[in-house]
Amino acid sequence: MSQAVPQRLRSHPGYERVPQVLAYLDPGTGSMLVQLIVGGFAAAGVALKLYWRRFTSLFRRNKAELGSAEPDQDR
Amino acid sequence: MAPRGRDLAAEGRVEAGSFRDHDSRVVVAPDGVFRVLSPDALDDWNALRASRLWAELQAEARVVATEPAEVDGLPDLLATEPAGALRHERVPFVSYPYEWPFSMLKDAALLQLDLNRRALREDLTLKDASPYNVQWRGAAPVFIDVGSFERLRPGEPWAGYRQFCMLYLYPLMLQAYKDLPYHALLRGSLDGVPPSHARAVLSASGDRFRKGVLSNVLLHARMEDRYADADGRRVKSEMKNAGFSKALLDATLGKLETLVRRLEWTGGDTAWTGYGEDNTYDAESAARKAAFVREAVGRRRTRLTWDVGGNDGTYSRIAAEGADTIVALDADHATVDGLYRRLREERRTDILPLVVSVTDPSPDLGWRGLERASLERRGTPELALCLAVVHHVCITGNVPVRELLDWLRALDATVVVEFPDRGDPMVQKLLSGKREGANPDYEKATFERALEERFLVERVDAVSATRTLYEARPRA
Repeated sequence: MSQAVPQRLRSHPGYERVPQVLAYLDPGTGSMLVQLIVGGFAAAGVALKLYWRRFTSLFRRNKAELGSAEPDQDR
Repeated sequence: MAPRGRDLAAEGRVEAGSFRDHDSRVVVAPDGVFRVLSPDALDDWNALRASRLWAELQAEARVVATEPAEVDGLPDLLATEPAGALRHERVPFVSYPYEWPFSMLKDAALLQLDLNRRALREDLTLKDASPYNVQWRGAAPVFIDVGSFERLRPGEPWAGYRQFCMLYLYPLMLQAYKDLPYHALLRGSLDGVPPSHARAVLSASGDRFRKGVLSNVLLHARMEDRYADADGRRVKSEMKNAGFSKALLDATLGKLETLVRRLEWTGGDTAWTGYGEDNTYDAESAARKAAFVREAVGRRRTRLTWDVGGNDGTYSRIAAEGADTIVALDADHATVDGLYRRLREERRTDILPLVVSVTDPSPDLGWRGLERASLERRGTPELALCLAVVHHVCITGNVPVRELLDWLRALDATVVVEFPDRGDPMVQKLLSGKREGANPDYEKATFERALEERFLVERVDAVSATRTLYEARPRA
């Protein structure tokens, strides 16, 4: 379990491409996600895809909350 | 352009409010405002400068006039080595969102969104969304934080959305939907109104279906609670993989633009909004008052004039005949909003209307009390008009007459001050709720003695049976 999350993270196709240049402003996780609703119809597809991936991940791996922090992460 | 070889590190004063973005820092020198850039920020600037947008924005004067500065001695202010510097034009008088009436905050929000949407077309974006990055030339907004433009990182959601909500959208919604003035909230917290606080005010059944509330306030606050412990970087990456795109970012900005455009607040009919037409003056007294002010204004041209208790701007307009910039201060939000809307229609760039109460003016705020400066630290006037205001300060505000004059003297400006005596109908009205003999120092003789002690009175005119005007110069 403790190894599962980083492994799954790395398995994301875009994982290595996560930009390391961080904005000085913390955009806030909830504030990023709510943009999928504020964006209206245009954003609905992306929101569906995001949640679909999360849903299907339930069958691939252990159940995990979207973006949840696990104790073994670097914090 | 600054002469080559100058040492900004030695000559400049670091602008205390510019520390948040670690990629650029503002230094104020005697001959201009300079921005020191990190290597990353320099690359962003070069991308902006090479875009068509930059030329357009400079031509439209929507972004502060900026040029690369040849500076040899760059101060060591950043976490990285400084890589370059820019020089900005100065704005005539710095003001803050907690001093702006509704329509100014709304116009600043629309400028913010417009710049970001236009930047997207050139694969640029704005890294934040703070109204402190907007300043004014009279009634024309100008974006001052050139360091806010950066190259777009495709697939990332808008970093400034939360800040936009807290400092622009929620304050506007609270005013438009609930008639709740945002000035005290923004002054109380420089970061603005958090989603959970906006939800506390806007979650009643009558409000939740108002435009924009459900998504931007209620869901936003809920998502923030729910994902408080989530790993933001991972969510960002998941959103990117799910296909978050530039088009979507633009859709979000576009929705917010429509929402902000629809927010309206008229302020209703406060005691002051009709004051210009319906005051205690007859036509002859008003004409004498205008002539008195005009003579003082015409004596010598000033860089900065304050119109304290500026009301509908009648005397600010006269002051504008002899000043580069007039700051019209008034405590009444609706009146200031109305003045701004008229000045905007006339495209005036010389009169800056601000919601400020003289008895409770903007203090020093933020990190170490230096981030946002008090009203007076931002520049004092050479001429101050105090017309139809002394009785409000001294009777309603209970400021002793001598202390009001101490404050005026401390401005070190020529003053044109009006004293309505105790027999004046407005003074009577202000005293009517108080016990007999309240504010005993509010007497013409007391006022004149205190004025003479601090100023050389150059002209006096009893413009009506109960009101006297004085033009006075500070004693050395």
